[in-house]
Amino acid sequence: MDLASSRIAEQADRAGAEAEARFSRSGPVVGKASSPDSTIEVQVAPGGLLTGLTIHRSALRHGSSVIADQILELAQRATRRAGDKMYHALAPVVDASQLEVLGYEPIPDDDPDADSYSYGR
Amino acid sequence: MPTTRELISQARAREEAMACVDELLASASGTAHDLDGQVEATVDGRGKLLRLWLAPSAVNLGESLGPLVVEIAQAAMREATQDGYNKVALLLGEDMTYMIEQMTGMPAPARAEDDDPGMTVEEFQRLRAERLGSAAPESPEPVTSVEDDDAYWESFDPASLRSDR
Repeated sequence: MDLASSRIAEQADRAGAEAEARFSRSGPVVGKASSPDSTIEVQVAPGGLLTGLTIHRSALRHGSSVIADQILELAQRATRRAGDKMYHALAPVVDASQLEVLGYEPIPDDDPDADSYSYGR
Repeated sequence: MPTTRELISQARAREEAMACVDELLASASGTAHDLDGQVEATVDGRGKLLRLWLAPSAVNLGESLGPLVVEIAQAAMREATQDGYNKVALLLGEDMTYMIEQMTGMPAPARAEDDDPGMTVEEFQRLRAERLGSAAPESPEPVTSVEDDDAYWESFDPASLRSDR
């Protein structure tokens, strides 16, 4: 058991060291999304945990339930974007199926959630 | 001494159990709310926001609403992490769970030094007694009255109904 765990830890260390070298160049990976009028801005860590949320005063007049729905939608978009970034950062060092297990999947270019998507904005 | 066959089946069982870990951790979720009950958030085991509820009065918080939601989501994440480990521990036991915690570098929040240990049995009973303080004297009454009834009928002498006594 100890042997198995130390072997897993060693593999993780090696993949971790390579990944760390990449992230030290790019900075911490975050996913961002904002409402069309930029009154709500959401930032999440890979995996989707909220790390930043800015709500401008002008957004507050829409009422609590509209704001909550909007935050939820933006958080999901930001989560997909963070997953897409993680996928591209880790794909060279980690198997794609393992990345999928972690929830890191690439976003197709024609997807409205893609960062570079410009239609209909 | 276990036979080779037994060892192989043990290893297989352990492997299958390990395969479930990802699934269990992914199925975990946690919910948290602020002290005033104005914000409630539910996140999954990785922190993804699953549900967010804001009380109508939450808009009065102005621009401090954003940071509060972030704080509540992070508290919910700690709940989700603990929920995941609780599920894994049921499957793999304490030792394996501790090993997974060390490998992931995310110790279970319940192991934290400052974690609230909850209440002891004595404390619970004392609080319960306090809570039921006013109701307590009422409940024994019907019980005693039933006993009284029994005692009355056990000692009842039908002869006492005779008119010539």
